[in-house]
Amino acid sequence: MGRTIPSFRIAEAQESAEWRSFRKALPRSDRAAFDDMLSSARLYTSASSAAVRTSRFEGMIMAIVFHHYKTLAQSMGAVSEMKKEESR
Amino acid sequence: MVVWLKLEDGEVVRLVDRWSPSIFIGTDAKSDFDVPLQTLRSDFEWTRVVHRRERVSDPAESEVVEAKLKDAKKAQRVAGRIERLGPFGTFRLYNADVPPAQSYLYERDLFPLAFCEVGQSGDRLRWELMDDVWAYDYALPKLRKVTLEVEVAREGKLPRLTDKIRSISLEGDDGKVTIDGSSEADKIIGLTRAVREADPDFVLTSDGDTFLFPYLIRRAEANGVALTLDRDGTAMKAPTKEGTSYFSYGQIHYKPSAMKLYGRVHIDTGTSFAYSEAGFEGLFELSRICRMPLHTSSRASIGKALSSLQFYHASKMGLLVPWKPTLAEHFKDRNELLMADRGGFIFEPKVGVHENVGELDFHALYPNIMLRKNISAETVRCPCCPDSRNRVPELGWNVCEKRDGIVPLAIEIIVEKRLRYKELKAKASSDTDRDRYNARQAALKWLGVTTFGYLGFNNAKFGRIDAHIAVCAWDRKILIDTARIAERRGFGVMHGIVDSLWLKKEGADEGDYLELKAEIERETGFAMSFEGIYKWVAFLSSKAEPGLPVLNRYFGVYRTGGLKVRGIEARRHDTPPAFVECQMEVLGVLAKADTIAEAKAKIPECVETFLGHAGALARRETPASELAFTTNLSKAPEEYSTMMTVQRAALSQLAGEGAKLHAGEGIRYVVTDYKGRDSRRATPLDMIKDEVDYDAARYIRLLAETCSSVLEPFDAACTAAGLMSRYEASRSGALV
Repeated sequence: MGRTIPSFRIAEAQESAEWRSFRKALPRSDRAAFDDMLSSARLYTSASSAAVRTSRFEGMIMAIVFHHYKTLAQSMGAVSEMKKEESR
Repeated sequence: MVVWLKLEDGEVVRLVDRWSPSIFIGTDAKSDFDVPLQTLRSDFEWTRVVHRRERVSDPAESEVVEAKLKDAKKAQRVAGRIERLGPFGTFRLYNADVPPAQSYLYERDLFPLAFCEVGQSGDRLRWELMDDVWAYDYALPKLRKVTLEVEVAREGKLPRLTDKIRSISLEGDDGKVTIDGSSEADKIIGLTRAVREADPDFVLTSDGDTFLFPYLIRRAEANGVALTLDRDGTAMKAPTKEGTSYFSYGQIHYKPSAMKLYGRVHIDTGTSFAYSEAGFEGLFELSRICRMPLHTSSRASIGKALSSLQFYHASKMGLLVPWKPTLAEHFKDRNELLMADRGGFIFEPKVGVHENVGELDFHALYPNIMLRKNISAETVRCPCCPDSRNRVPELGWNVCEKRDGIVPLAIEIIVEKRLRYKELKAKASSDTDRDRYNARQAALKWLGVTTFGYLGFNNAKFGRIDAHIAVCAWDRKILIDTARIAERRGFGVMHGIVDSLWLKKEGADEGDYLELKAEIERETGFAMSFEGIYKWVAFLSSKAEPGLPVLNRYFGVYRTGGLKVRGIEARRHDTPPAFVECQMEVLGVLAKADTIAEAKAKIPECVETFLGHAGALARRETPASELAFTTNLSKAPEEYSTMMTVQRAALSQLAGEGAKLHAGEGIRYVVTDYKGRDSRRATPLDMIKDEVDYDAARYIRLLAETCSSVLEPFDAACTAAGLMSRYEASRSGALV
């Protein structure tokens, strides 16, 4: 007995490992950004697990896209605040 | 069955009850019974056809043969022979591995340390129980305890069975007795006499199973004298079998052969989980509730104790205990498996230090889910209640409404008694009472924790993964519902893990949290406790990937002043004691701060604390014994690779001294030359003296890492490298 399906935390690590060749083909200067992007999925592991998708990549990519969207929205908000400040 | 009784006047008597255990045999075709009953006729006292429930999931009893054994010790051997009489599955064997002493207690409805009356008719005993396993304030007989210590005259660096005895001491309530004697034989005879005179009920040793008793037996043999510590005058003999290594919760453990005494209880404090976690009171409670003899329960894993409790309930409900459980999980297609096979819910912690966070914990959530929702191997997806109103969230599986599962039946006493002991502890008027109730509830806590794991454990007699899955599904629902209730009331979730939630709302006071708690309890139906509001709490990030949260690594200070620490070095069992002391000292300084700003202001004082400890290491003032790392061997020593890691260096030295180690045994070592390449990289603790020349530079670096775990959340400059720079600067300053 015991669990058959790995936890999403383990699945994320497995998925990341499978993208090793992609990472290797990137210029050295891009690799840290790639690592950061994959890591950002782990900020939403519980939500990805709750989504119950047959492909673990789907859960990860949704987490990455969502994090990207949030970051972008926050940045846009900050920019518009700065613009407002400037126009005063 | 030999029974030892302690009478009200303190006298101890030995009684014998003519009794032996039964095994049960089931087959599909009744004619198949003839083969084993004829072949093994000589092993059985008698056989008869009885009606019992074979599998926990069976709706009704079926006909099985009960075979009363002539020799209780042969149960598994006889069962094995029957099993081999036909293709696998022809004969289904039951109760073959239930320890006879436990079967006796179940059949007679007795438990260790029960107050009872006994009468004798012929060679049988008649019992009248005048005690209740549900009692909270039970009377215990006055028990005499002694601690036995032996000093070995070592010839090498490690004690060996061939070394002579230097001295023996026996310490009891009446003080300490040192057994003198001109010769080794005199000392052994003196020990036998001293034990007979003290007549203890309990003999406590440290490493009695692994070394002390095998050593004393060997010394007695070498001197041609008998070592007689048993109450009935039996001479002790060396164990006939070696200990065993086993795998549990991701770790290998080692269990040595038990050195038992007749008529007294030997407790090896080094290997007894129950005694080390909950002392005598916890051990007694565990033995009573689980109906296990004290010798057995003091050495048993909590899982074994829980199994015994389930076996008792099985025997009361006419359910047999399968020798080799074959209860398979229900079929699931891919989508259902993906949906079902998930753990409890977690809200990732918000990394950083936060002020005014409150903590709410559910009381024994998993055991309560099993109890209240009737979760058990046979109740989840039972065939008798397809339209049950009790359904597993998300999955929709039906849960039996017609009968109580064996797991809820068994854990009721654990949940109810623990809650009551906690109440009694809170109301206790003396430290003695408080300690007693605390020890008892601690023993029950471990039982409760194990109940969930045992639902999905492949060797559990009454486990099934579907029940395990159902508990997790309920947990996810409860935790998510709780978070929604909290958010509705304006609280934000800072972290949540399985049965605990950390919440924050600006300006919230204790009253707000208590109102929230009441609402959660009302809506979910599960009781919670409010742990308090933190002045500040730090949720740590991964060391390998800063910024990413890690679960269950946090520390904080309640407004009441209490410090709570989880998952960091000070809580890990493998951390050297000197590091624990330093980290706790730093936390003690931080704990005086009421706000994050105040904590930040205390960083210089914390850094000074680190520098003080680092200086003591550099000057080698810290005793080497305080710097030992502890590790459990994950495999047999000869299976380790040839690479000379610090752990293997210590192993290699132990092997050189003739030590025989097994997978699962713990070793402790001090790093003596981290950058070296040979076995001098580390030295086993048993082979060092405090003045050993340890690798101070390595220890200072590790100490910096330990301190940075608790300082970096407040000051980004306090990384391990940052602290090392401060240390180097302080050294050059000292030189100037």
